[in-house]
Amino acid sequence: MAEEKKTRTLEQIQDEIRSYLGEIEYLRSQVGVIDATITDLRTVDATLAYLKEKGKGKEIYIPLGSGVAIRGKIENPDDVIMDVGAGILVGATVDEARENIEKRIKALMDLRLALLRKIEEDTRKVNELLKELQEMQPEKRE
Amino acid sequence: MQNIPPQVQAMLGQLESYQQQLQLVVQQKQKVQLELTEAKKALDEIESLPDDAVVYKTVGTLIVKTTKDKAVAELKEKIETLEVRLNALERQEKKLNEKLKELTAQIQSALRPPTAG
Repeated sequence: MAEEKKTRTLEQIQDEIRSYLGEIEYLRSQVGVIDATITDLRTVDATLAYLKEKGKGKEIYIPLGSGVAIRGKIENPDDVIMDVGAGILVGATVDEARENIEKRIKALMDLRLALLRKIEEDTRKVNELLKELQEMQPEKRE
Repeated sequence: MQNIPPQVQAMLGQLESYQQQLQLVVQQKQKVQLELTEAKKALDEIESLPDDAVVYKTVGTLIVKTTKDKAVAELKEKIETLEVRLNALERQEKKLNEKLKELTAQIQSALRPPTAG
């Protein structure tokens, strides 16, 4: 490994740094996407909790998308359906749906942690490479 | 580029075309793999439900009621189709990689200076 380090050129180290920085940027964007999804899931969870407690008979506007909503009345707040992927949805109670949301949040939090660890690892590698670069530069000037 | 023989320039053009095709195939493969994973996960989920469970499916922007049996059958068919597509894409990827390897070797050999003697 030490031998390999010696034969690496300045340009190769710079390329490696650029590659790590690109990966760090991509991973940070993924963390952002996960954060947004978690926020969305928490909003749905809060809505479900509210509907279960105070929803029965309530008149509400149900969003249809693109900022359009339709007026409706909640007959049974404990009757919801949830997406299990591939265009399939299953009937569930509010508690089941909230449990599912909790599981999804937990899985996303685990993934977020793994990404943060990878960012930390990449940042450490960038710092090592920068140090290597600094050590090489005086040699180049001689 | 001016000093490169026309024959090699043509090969370089072909190489670029193969690389683009490969990129496209890899992207499609990733998409199919993602859909396949999702379909398998959904199948696991509904197979664990009781037989009389209420199941719905999306039809465009609508959500319609269906039965567990129908949903399972549709998902199995979807998985089968996706697996066939994935295999085809994997074959295409392998072929393109072979072509790229072959062409790269040809280009390297064409650009190698002739040995004296």
